[in-house]
Amino acid sequence: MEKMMSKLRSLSGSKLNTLTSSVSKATTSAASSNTSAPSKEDILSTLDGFGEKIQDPIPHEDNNNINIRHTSSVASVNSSSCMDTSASDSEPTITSITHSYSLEWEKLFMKPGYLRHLKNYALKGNLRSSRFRSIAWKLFLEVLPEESTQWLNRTRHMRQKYMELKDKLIVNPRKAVDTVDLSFNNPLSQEDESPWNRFFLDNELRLTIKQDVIRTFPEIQFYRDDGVREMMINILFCYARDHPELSYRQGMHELLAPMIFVLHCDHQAFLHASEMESLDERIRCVLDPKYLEHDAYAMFAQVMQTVEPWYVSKEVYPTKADLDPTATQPFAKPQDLNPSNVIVTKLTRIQDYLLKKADHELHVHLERQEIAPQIYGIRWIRLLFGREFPMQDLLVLWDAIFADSIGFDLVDYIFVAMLLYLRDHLLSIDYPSCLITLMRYPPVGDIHYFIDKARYLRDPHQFPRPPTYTYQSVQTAERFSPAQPTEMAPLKPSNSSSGTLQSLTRKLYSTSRPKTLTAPGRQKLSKSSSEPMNLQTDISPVSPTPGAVPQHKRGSSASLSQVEDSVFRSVQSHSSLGRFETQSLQSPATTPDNVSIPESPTRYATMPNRGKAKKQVKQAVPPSNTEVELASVRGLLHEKQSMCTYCASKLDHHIERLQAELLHQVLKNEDEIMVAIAGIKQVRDVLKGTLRWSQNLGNADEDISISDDHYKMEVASSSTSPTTDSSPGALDSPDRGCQGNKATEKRLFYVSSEENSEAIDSPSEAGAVAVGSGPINFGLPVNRIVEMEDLNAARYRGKDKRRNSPSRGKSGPNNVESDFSNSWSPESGHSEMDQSPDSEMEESPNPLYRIRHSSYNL
Amino acid sequence: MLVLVLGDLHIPHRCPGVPNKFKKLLVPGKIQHILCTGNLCTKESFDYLKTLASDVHVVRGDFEENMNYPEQKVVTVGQFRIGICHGHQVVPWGDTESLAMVQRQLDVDILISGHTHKFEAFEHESKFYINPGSATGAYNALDSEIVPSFVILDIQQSTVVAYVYKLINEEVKVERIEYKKN
Repeated sequence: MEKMMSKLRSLSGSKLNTLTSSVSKATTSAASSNTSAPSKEDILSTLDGFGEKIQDPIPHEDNNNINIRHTSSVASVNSSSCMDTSASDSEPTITSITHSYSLEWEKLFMKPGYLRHLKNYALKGNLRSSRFRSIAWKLFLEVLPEESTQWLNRTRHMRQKYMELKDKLIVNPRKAVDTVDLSFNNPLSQEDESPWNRFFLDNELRLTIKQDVIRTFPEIQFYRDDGVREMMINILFCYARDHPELSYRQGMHELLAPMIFVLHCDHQAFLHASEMESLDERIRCVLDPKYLEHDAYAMFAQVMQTVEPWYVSKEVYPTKADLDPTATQPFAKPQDLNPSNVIVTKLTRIQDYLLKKADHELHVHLERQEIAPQIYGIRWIRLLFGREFPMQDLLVLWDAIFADSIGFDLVDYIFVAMLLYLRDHLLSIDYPSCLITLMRYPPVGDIHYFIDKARYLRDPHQFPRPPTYTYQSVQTAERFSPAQPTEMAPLKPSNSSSGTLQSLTRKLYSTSRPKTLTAPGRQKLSKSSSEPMNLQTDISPVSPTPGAVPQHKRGSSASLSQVEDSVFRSVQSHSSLGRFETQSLQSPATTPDNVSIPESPTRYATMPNRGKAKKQVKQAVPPSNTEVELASVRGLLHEKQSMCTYCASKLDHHIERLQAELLHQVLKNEDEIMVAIAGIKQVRDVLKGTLRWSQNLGNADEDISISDDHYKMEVASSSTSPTTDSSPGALDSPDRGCQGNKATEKRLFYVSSEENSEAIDSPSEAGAVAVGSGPINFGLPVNRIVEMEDLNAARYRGKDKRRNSPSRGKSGPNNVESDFSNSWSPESGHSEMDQSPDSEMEESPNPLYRIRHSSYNL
Repeated sequence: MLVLVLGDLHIPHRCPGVPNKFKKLLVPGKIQHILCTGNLCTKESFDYLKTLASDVHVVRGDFEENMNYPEQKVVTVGQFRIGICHGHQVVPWGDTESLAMVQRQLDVDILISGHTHKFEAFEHESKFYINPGSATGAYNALDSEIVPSFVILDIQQSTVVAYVYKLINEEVKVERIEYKKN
């Protein structure tokens, strides 16, 4: 049943994607009218027509893109249904999945001039579900000639060569007893010719290789197999011995690993198919599972031929430092880092020429921050982005890189595309955060963007410009800090660019992924996407306030377990004894809340927004000071934003519970319930901001302002200093508040990088108190709406009582406000994860919560 | 698997140390076990052996500083039971029949003994006997012209190959003797 739920979700999601993107392409789609805002009925119909819907007539003319996107989003989830879809959709010449194995073979490889088609096909990402990817790679890498009649000979020759090589290189000194003079051939001999000496040197090399091999993609089961490991060691060893000038360098194993994986997958498909039908001799030979190692070596050697110069390095211990991000001297200038290397030259060219051409501003920013490309880029390039993307995406990327040219020319442009993807985010953050982001590339929803973008960058005249697609980070808002309120104006345009339909469509892919990087679950997700994943379970770790979460928290998420651990502890330390009781108290009451959600977005998102904001601005702010006014408005927006996200996360949590509960029961009207849940999820997505809230969804009178507000809030949220929104007395408050806040954040960063959750907690409080105790914050909160004050007071009392912190007693509710916003940052991610309603409950404007809450605490 | 067999160093009483040519050959990382027939005499010699391999087995000789070493020892390497005994207790010294008694007593496939300071390796009643001689070339009770020697055993399943290293006229000579267990 859970599987079904996920299918429903992914289906409706993918359908949405398909349709919205087709709208953007201005193609007429039958169903497009009602899909920009999928209603409950829509999902219902999707569910009903689960089988038939797939064969829906999706326009065939311009659907390559759609097809790709579709496949990419669903491929890993429900392969069977998606395969059908892509089969029915894609070009008639080459079908990604046909039911007959040999038919696919013929279509892919047996037509005249097939190679060109195949390359195009690969560049579009359609090899994703092909059963002949390894052969395609062999063709791209020129392991096999285009002339398919020579395949048999070439393959045999290639395998023979590898066997000879292996025989020659893997020496057993015990076998060569009589041939060599005893003075050489003895275990202690140190002569170069001695087989024993060779044997010991080889053993050392193998040991080095083995150390790396056993750490290859530890999260993928396939690589834990001893046979696979042994094979990898053999291949790498043979390569190292065959190329003594390069020998083995760390990183090679990660180039080899995906190839073995691809070969293995194709072999499995072959074995399966050979049971069903009799196959062409060529297939049987080329895909003979016996020769996995031989074929992998041939491919690896070809890849290395291109990549080799990137591994050559004049440093004494080059690769160790290169691969470990912490060891690559983060403060070194480019010229210090051995500028004579090929890889450095290449990287410098990418940054100083390609990137500069593509995006001058980003280039200047990186230059100013002195972020040399070799700090992060050596790994990107040497591993062909192997660490940056999950396996399934990586294979698609490699399809394109290999297909494009044997020189892997596309790599440089993908590099630039990857930087451009993070552009907005990078521009808004400082040196350490930049480095962290680049070292730990954030998960990406759509890998095809990079291919499209790279091709466009290389040849803007020949390839269409791909739609703007940037990393959706709310932290971009930091640029528009309250210190420069004049920048309020450009807020909207920057939003609208990211809010285009295309980016929205893409966003929808990643609806399952939490928006901020801080949620630790996300990294896990990105890695695990090679396995069929259950989208349902992935939704949960959404940080409740994307705006308030400082990006530097990622610094602390160095290792998942540690973060989770710290998350757990900090929540524990933060919450009172009564937390668990609160939870249990709340759960029965909130479940009905979930059911009655359709009205909630309007209530939460719009009502307070419009009414209060105006009122407050009028009352509170001296008309002369527009800065303060703006700041206070933004403060409000921020508040609403966090409220929305809070609601979303609550919903998320309870939906999860509902589902978990439903799983245990066998109900007659399961479908009805699931449809209802799907509806609730939609509401949640609207609240979360991953689904745009548009006219079709709500009342006509309020809608536009809402969606605008929503995005504005998203941008403005994190920049807003919490202290400023209610301090009319202090004119310089925005600046000072901001500084205080920033200082806190910085401190937070350094502390949190030590992964000390207690420390994370305390400085944020300390910072908040420090900010609060400044003269600004003692200004009376005249402008506070009574309700909010009440709420704050209640919250404050609750907190105070629980934490027994006397320092807070002096400062008014105002301070609590700031304290709260600050404490959002480190804790918001966790409390969600931990599903503790306690800390978030305080934020809720719902009178029900408040009453329950305060009565509980008092 | 490589096993170093040596003994009768008599450092510093009879010899200043292991010959340099031997020292050059003996490098860490190759040898897994060391079987020593005793008469290391000092702790320093033992420490030197420890630098070559972590697994060192020593039996007590007649000039031992450390009296805690056992008289005899049995070590199992692969499929082989190997007995070690210094040999001054076995009279007549180095006599095959006497050694065969020790071999039966210990019930081993290979018996390693020393004390005579003369390399010997032979099969007797389908058991293998090894005397590695003196690694330093220290004189013995009856002879002062001793050829420094030691033995490396390469043990593979049911086969042992003994490589004998001798220092003759400042030249290292290697011999190879194979023994198969039936």
